[in-house]
Amino acid sequence: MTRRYERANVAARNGDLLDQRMIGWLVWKVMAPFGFLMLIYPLYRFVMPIEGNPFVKAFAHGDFLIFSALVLIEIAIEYKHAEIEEAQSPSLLFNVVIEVVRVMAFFLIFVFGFMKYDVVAHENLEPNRMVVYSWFSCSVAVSSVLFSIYIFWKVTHFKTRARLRAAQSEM
Amino acid sequence: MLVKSLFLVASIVFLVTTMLLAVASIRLRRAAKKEYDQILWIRAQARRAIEQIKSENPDEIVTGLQNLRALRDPGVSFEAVCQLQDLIDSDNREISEQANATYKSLVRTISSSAKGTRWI
Repeated sequence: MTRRYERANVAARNGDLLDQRMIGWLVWKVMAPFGFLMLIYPLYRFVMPIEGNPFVKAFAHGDFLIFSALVLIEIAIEYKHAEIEEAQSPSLLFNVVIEVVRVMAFFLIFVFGFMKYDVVAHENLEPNRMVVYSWFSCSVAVSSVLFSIYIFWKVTHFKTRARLRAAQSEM
Repeated sequence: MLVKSLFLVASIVFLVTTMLLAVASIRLRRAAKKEYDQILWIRAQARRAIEQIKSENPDEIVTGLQNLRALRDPGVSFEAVCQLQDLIDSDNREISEQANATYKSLVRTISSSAKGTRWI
């Protein structure tokens, strides 16, 4: 009983729009690693110039794919957690999307292996192919970052909706 | 050639998905903000009701108690519960009854918010 009231106390005093835990997740698990991985390109381009196309050198190895796979798995976990925590009635369609995202995350790890092997094993790989690999890595990374932002707002919306419903239930 | 085309198409698909996600995120943000503004309005009214129950005027106190029962904000309910004890013990029978009913309603609001949701 005491625990419930302690929880209610915390709950009552922190009625802000944004969930602090989700902010921490978005900043430290998604945005910061993405920003630091992105920094590699300007570093190669301006600070320590290397031979060849810096964009390709920075992203063709597919490091972004591992990052994206981890972010997508996190998204699936966080969404499920929020759905249960906020007592939301589960949406079948969105749950299917989340499961697809989870499977895609593992597929991305497989694609990473393929790309890495292709780039490392074939030193004289066609330059255009390397550029395509780089674009692929970047587009997957940006897409997973945007998906995490989408989930962030979806969870925030869960909270505001639940709270408004609670406030209006007896009005 | 086939591998290159596959990766190229996949990149385009991911970029299109990115744009769709951006639009959906903006919409969700707007919806959440709109609902949050409504929550803030309810909270402001509930705070006003707390000010009313602190008044000396019995009619205003009763109005405040009725408003508090109608506006079920967990945060403000917590503050109000502490103020209600004196009103429950009041000599004025109407105020005492209203305060008792409000107390029960607010405790229900607080416990249901603790069970169903986590507002951190």
